[in-house]
Amino acid sequence: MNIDQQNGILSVTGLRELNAANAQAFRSSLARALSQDLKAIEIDLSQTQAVDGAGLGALVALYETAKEHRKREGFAMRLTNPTPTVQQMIELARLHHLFEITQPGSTPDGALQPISLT
Amino acid sequence: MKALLICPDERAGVTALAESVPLASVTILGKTLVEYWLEHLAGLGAQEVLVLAVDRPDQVRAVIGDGARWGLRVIVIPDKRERTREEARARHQANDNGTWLAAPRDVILMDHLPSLPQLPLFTSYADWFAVARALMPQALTPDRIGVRELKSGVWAGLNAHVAADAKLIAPCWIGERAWIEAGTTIGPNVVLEREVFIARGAEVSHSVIGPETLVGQFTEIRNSIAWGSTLINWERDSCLKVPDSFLLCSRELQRARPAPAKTPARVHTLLPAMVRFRQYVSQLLT
Repeated sequence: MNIDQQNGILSVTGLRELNAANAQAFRSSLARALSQDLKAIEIDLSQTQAVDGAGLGALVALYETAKEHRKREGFAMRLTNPTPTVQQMIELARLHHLFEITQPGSTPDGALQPISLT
Repeated sequence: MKALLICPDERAGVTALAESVPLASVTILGKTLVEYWLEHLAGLGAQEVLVLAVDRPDQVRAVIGDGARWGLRVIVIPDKRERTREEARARHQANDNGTWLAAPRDVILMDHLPSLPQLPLFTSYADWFAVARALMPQALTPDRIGVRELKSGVWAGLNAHVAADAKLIAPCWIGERAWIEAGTTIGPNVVLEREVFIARGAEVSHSVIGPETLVGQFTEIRNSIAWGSTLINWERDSCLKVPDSFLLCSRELQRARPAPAKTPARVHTLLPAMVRFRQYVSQLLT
């Protein structure tokens, strides 16, 4: 798992699984990386093959911690490019109402990516 | 008069449906496919039916017995591969002196329901769902003892329990001994098979929930077929084995557990965050 922070956006990539085996470590690693200027957390789920309830719980806990960290300021958490089965888990647990979910070729607000004609 | 039924073997488009039972024995609104066909053939005047089964013939036999229920004599014949109608006719009719139903009713491949010949069952999960949805308005037949229409387009089977504040949106079919807890929303376009349990706060729409399936508290199932712990999104053709029994599972497995398993103990001990997650989702809904 890789964690990177730029322009107030904390990005997580290379997450192969998010379940009872690594949920606690995932949450702790990210909680340590939270900063005062944090505007958003983006978690790339394109390589994530397995998610369970414990992993979903860690996402919610991280969201709560980050929101608490930011206090008065706005904050967003995005899950990007989830595999179809991971997206099914997210939807089953209703977390698509809580987090922004973006698919390949879409921006966070759901609009299409601009196409360059040059 | 005689007739011959060919059970469908494996179908690439719906492999998950045949995990626990052969396709001929999969339930659609409380009856298996082979039961619909035997009922239909009995109505056409058949007295003897041969059933060719490649996939788990013993399970097919267990469902239909000797056919006495329909006033038929039924023989299940194990086969090595699924025959075409022409092959089956050549093998079983050519040297038979009995009287057969007139073609094409004499040999039937069970890849659709008798009342919905235009809708294929096994080409995709979306097609399976389309059949279940189309069958609802015509499924209240006199042989279904105890089924009642709770309101227009909402049918409930014998001993089904629906909490007073559950929201039912037509059309939906609630199978025998199904149990729907408070604060749930069921429908539109929902089939709950027998002994389904929908826990508090769950929402189900445009979906089929298979027999004896438990849908956990505050979950949301949409555009899906849920069969035990298997969750298939028929729109995206995606299939998931749900790892957490408090979200989705077979009630049979739930009953087999040594202790009540509303929430698995490991989740409580390893991750209190999981509990907060459920509380959070419940807050979202209230």
